Amino acid sequence: MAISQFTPTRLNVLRSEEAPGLCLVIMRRDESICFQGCILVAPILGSITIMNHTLRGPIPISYNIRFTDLLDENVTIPYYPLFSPSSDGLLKLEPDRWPTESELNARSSIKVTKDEKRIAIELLNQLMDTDDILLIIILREMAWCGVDGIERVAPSLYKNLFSGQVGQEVNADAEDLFRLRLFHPIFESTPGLFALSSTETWTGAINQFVAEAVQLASRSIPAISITYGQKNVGKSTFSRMLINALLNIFPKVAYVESDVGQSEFTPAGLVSLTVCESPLFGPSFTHLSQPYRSYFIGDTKPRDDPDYYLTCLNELVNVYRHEIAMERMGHMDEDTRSQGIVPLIFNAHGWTKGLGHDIFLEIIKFLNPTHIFQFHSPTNLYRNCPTIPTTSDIQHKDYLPKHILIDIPDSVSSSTRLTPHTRRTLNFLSYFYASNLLELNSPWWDYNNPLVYRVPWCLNWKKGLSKGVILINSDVSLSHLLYALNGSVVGLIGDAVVDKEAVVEVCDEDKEDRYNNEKINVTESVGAVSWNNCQKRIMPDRSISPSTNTLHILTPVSYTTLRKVTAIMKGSLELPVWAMLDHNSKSSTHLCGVPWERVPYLSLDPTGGVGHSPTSVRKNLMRRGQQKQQGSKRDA
Amino acid sequence: MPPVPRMVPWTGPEEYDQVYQWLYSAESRLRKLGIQHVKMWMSRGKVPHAILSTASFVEVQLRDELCYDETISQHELQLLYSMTFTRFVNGMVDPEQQGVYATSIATLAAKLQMPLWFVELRHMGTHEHLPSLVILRKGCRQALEWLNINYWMSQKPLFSQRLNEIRDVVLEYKRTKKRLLKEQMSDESQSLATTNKILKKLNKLVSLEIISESLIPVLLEVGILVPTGYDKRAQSLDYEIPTDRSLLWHPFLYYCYTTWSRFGDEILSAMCERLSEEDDEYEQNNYSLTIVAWIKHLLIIHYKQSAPIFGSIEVEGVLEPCLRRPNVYTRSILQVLLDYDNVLERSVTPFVKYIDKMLTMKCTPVPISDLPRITDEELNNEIVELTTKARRPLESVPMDMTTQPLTQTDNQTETSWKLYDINDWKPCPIGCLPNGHIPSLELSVTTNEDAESFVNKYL
Repeated sequence: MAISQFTPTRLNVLRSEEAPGLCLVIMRRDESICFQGCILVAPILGSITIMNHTLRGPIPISYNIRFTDLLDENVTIPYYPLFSPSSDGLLKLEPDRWPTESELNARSSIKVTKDEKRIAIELLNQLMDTDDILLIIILREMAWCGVDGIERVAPSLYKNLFSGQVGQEVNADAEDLFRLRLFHPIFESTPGLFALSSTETWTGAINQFVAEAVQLASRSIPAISITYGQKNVGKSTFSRMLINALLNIFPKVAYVESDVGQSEFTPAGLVSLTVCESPLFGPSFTHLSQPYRSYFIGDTKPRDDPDYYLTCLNELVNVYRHEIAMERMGHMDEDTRSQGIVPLIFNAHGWTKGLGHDIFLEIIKFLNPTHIFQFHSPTNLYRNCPTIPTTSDIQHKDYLPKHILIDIPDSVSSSTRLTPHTRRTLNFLSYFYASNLLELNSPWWDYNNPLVYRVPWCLNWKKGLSKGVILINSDVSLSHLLYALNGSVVGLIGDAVVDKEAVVEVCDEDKEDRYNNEKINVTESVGAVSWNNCQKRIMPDRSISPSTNTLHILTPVSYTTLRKVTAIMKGSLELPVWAMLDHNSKSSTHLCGVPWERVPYLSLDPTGGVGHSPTSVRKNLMRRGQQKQQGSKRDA
Repeated sequence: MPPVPRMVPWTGPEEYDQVYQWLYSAESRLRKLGIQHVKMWMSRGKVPHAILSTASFVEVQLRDELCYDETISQHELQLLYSMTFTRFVNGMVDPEQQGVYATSIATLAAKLQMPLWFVELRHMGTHEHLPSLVILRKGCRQALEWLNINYWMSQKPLFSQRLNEIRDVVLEYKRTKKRLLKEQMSDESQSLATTNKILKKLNKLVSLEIISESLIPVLLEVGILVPTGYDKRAQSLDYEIPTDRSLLWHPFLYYCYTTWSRFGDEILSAMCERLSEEDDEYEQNNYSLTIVAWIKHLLIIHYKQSAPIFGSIEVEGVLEPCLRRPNVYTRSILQVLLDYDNVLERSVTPFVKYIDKMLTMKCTPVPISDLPRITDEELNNEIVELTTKARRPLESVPMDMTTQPLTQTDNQTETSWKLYDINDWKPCPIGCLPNGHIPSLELSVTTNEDAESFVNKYL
């Protein structure tokens, strides 16, 4: 249930006139705050576990709490950004019952400022009753990050994602005590909102995995897990929790995304390897980041070219093994060796039937996982994936993979959740609007400046695209190339390694031979992002002459990365209509001064005639036979 | 909130209509072009199923026609045709499956008024023995015909729709106002309310950005400002707009001016652009003469300030096209400017004299020696001077964060990436250039030999 167990009073929500966007919250046993919105959280006393990651304050719980300890300049308190939109399970702030008192793990670059620290101490010194306090946290407003701007970009899809409530109004008095923009604690059961929850098998599996990962690390073996299950069973959430749980112990965790339809750290259409150093509190679109390495698949499903897909994934696993798994191993003694170990979490695709299952088995072969998490439901058998054979070829050399079944949580009503398609759009928009500058009080997303306003990059394709243009699985003739590219989403492909001897050519089918261990000199490699998503515009080109061959490209990646681009690749990813509109304008007659009739690729005209809609696939159609079966079931 | 548009793979109606013409062309070369274009659309996505089916049928038909020799066997052709039929019928019928349980394909096909034997061909092709080539060819022809009637021809003349709506409002105004004038309604305010109610409809259809492409062309059509009857149009350059017509249109023009501030300038310059002696059609019917009368009428009102319609207009907008295109019409307009504008009179009189001379001596060619001579050097000097002038204001602008990438690219002119010049940049729809136009997307392949190496087709 998405309800807070907390009664805000002037004694447990402390605010200072000096700092309007800040408050201190004091929580005791059995209290919790479930909220919609976004907020920065910094624990001061006690510890709090959010999505399996524990945040600890610098002051331990004791009979004699001394807040003046905070004055020490060496005590830095990190802020953690929490994103809790209505599209996903809402986050809950709940003190740990048995706070652990291990060292402080600061995993955030944003820190509580000196002034804020002073204000906090002043407020705490007024505190009369310190009995039974389990947790004191600073909540700091973060509406300045601009995350809620997405609601304006696509109002019909993302209404009330962060702002306002779906359905019922909250208790206005209760909220008023916090007075933080975009922070809406939920005090009454609200339809459409639910709290993020994890089942016992999830917690058990995660704890078991973390414990065993530590054991393996002491033997210099990195733990490698793979999460397998049908779509919409909670794979991403589970993987996110795994990352967070591992980050309690390990400084870094590697993550390979193979679900091209719903990527965790990138827009759709890419497989990627990301190294996580800070915990993830929120859905995917709130923490997109530049991956360590990524490959462009160009589709939301790997169905058209499974071999290419597998090759890319194999590459990523190789890169992980050679460049990430055991970094800083050379100069480590036995005790600290485990600190250099970076465990891997591999998120499998949600295509578990037919060819999809075969692809999964192929992945298992080169991944050699130590743990396989398989989603399983004892009642809804149709939601289970096929069993994984325990033949010798999927077994690890040194370690027999542990096969762990985890529950599929009770499905929340699907109407409140976003469809995979709208989630992809969300990631796509978040990627393009991100300002890539994660600092206090500066916008992290710039939704005020629509994409159509943005100054594009000009790419001279004669000079810049030494490896040309690659069209995946399409039958476009060369003369129509520019028609196909104009205003479409492409991948920017570059060399992963600056050294020309070890160029990664993923467009080359013989890549496997080329990419052997000798050629990749691990220590010298530069961690350049190899592929990025972007969208483009095209300049006129009356002929292929170097003076006019320019592509206009919109991309959030930096100039240094762009200079490494050698090719562009187009798959079947479509540009969301929301990226093409000017959400600042209310005009129904024109877009940026161009009348709607002459805006390319968009139409306001009604359609008609048979077959006017694009081909769509419907998978839930039942046959007459099933009608009879269902009828007899009901009768029984 | 404006409605959310639909994504389409084509740039505009011209491209759409062109592909339609190509696919149904008698020439196989053009049909092939049509297929290529549809394939490009497929790569962009969101192609209506009817278009995909049409292109597939045409493609198989072409294969059948062009490879009549042994390069393709009868069986291969049967397979091609059958697959096309299966996908065609399924794609048409599937969106009609609205219930929880599957309805039979024949039932749904009947709903679409699809010939039943298309469904039979699909069934035979999938489950029974392959249909014969004779019947498949016949089916293919009929399917193309069926698609033509049921999809292609049922597409409305899509994009002229808005102009039609605007025209309807304007004509409604004309009718109503005429009636009100005839009735001599005593209650002025009520009559104003009636017409304003009609005029307000324009606000939804027209905005400042598009008046020159929508409302103004409609107003300049025959039957609006220029009457349909020839006898009601101007017969000579001395013609003056009669009072009943000015009473009819003044409130309309005034409303437009108050709603869209640039309306006055835009309509005057659009009117001037219409004045050309070469346009026979208009010339014969005194269209241009009537337009001239309107321009003069509006200018005189402007100068006399008796009852200004357009509060302020920039006379340069009229002066410039008139000087640029000297002819009897524009000369007559210039005269009005000379008569009423003392400031202009001094500066423009020499030009007008020259135009007079030119118009009277139109047929005698000017000897080359009479033309003023300008050397290359002089031209170059002028260019240098103009460029330095143009740059000056920019230098005074302090460099801020937004212009930083520009300096970055300055010292790396050899690199292939640079940010679009921020001073020249104007927001524009994606797929357009900053000038608001769609670039020419034709890639002429034959001119460049290494073009083939430019594209690596994966697979």
